[in-house]
Amino acid sequence: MQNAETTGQKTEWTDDPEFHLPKDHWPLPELSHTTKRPVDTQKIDFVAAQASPEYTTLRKTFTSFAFPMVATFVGLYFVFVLLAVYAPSLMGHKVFGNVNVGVLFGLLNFATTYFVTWAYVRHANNNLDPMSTSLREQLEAGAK
Amino acid sequence: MTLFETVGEPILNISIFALFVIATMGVVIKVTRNSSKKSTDFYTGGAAFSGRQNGLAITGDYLSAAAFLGVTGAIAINGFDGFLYSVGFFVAWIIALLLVAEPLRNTGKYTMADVLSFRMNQKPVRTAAAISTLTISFVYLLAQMAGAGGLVALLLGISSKSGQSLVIALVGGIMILYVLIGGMKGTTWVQMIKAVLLVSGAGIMFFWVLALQGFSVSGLFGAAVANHPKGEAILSPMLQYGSTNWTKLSFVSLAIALVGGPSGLPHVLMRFYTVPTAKDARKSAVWTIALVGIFFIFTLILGYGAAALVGADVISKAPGGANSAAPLLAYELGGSVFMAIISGIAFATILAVVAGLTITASASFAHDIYNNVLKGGNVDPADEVRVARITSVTIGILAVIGGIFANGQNIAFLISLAFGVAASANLPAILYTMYWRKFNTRGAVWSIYAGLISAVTLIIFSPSISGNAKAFFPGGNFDFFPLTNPTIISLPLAFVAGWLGTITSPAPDAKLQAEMEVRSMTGIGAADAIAH
Repeated sequence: MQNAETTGQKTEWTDDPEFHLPKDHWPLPELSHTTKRPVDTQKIDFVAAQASPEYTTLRKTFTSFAFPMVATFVGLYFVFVLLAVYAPSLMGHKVFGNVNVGVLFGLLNFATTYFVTWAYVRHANNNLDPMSTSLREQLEAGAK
Repeated sequence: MTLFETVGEPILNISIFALFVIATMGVVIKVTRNSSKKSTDFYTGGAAFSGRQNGLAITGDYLSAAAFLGVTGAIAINGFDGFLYSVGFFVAWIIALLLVAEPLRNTGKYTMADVLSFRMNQKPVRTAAAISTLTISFVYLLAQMAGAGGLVALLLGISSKSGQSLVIALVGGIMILYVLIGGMKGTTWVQMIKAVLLVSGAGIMFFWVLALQGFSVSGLFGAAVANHPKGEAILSPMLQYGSTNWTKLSFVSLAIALVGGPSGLPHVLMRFYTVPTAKDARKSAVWTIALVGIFFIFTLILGYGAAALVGADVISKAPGGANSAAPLLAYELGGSVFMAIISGIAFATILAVVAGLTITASASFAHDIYNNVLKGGNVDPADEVRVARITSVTIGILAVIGGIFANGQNIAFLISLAFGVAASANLPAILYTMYWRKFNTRGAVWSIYAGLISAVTLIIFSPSISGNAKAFFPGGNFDFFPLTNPTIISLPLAFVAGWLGTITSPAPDAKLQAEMEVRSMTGIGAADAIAH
């Protein structure tokens, strides 16, 4: 994909579907290209975009999920650590056979981490991606 | 114990080692020959890896010798305290997935400094980020080198320090070759192969150990207790860290380092640039989490399995000490051939991680310091790569020298120091940059230096470095700081310094801040998949 580089981004385009090819390309254009049209980010008013309601909602949807999740489940890990350090006899209490509270609590941390991963991916695919894609397309359209 | 004159058969061990090295080198040569010779390939492999491939590669980067040899050994000898490492190593990925991976991919290009300096004054921030990258990579390298020394010592029966030093030098040499020939693309393939081998190798041992106990975890724990001089104590916390209030606090500090470190480790962060989009960065992190979690559950069983089947005393007395628990367990399970294979995997692990670290450190030096700071960003890409290659050789040589000194230390412990530095120097700055609009140049510089300098200084004056028989310099006596891990002090300090620097200097460029934030959330204008 040398082309996008050699053509540069700020040249005046005449052949729209051939943006990814050098101007003097020959003989036939490669019509099914995978390279995205380079966006001139200079033309985007990011300050306005940041203040837009769409962006505010997107940001809020992200932070209101991510921050509490991180706080809760990293917090749970510290509960585990502090109990291990300052209440070792509680952690050593056997639940069944030789398996004690500590091992089960440790494994619980594994389970919650898998849970957070699953929940975040679901949240991102269902809620964040559609919003961020539409916002990006909107901004890219404005930059042309 | 005749077992330790030679464990297994050295000739067999050497052959399997050689096979691993030759096979992976073959892969490196093949993948690099097929690709175009573009300069960006050296750093990011052309950003053309898929999320799953990259997830495997991150797993490969993250599961170092410390995770396999170090954690297994720590559990075998110290029981539950070793398990605390595994939980921290894993839970840390919550922060990486939710807060760091995607915004990082959307705003950066090659190195961690790209993101930190995006909306700041380039030179001071880049310099600080590059210095911290180089420091962390170096400490991490020491740990890997020490692991290589111990492992080969065990396998080839080399117990003399000079012989082990020679082995460390050899590992360094092979690693430099990998990086020079393969660049990021080659090392990424090595990481992927190694991740598959390592997780499946550990998986086989996991089922084998459990099968011997009739698939009873409780039975395995019982067998470990029966064969351990400390008995029941290995099932409860604080066998290793419980002796005084300082050691307890050291452990809390370690826990902070373990959970904050991964999102600040430059070689892990750089991996998020080798995929085309933020969505692929997310997929990478998910694959990594899936594999890393399974792996650390395996190590819990491997550790207690080693205690039950090999015995803590035997492990402690083996050449390589605690680090030899996993290979010795393999020997008990499947004899010398299986041990040679498991050790070959461990060795491939070390090589791959060392190569990944070297490429990160050299990219950071060439891209951040040489190109952007010294030459004002006007360097020809080919020249930048030339500098990166020279840097790899230099770092390789330094790592060999450092590794010779670090030989014999528990690698999980050494790694925890690198995690401590990464958590303190990088994580606060990264989180502030992404999530605090007012954060500015002075804040970034102060935060990085405060975290870096305090963490390194506190380590130097800690009991890890001097003052006792297990320290780096047992003869020295400058252990003024009572904790073995600095993070409980240095991480909050970095947060405070970042805040203080920010409020005492002018507000940042609002336009750049807006640009970075909108980019990080939408991926607009992100460096393209292939044509960087």
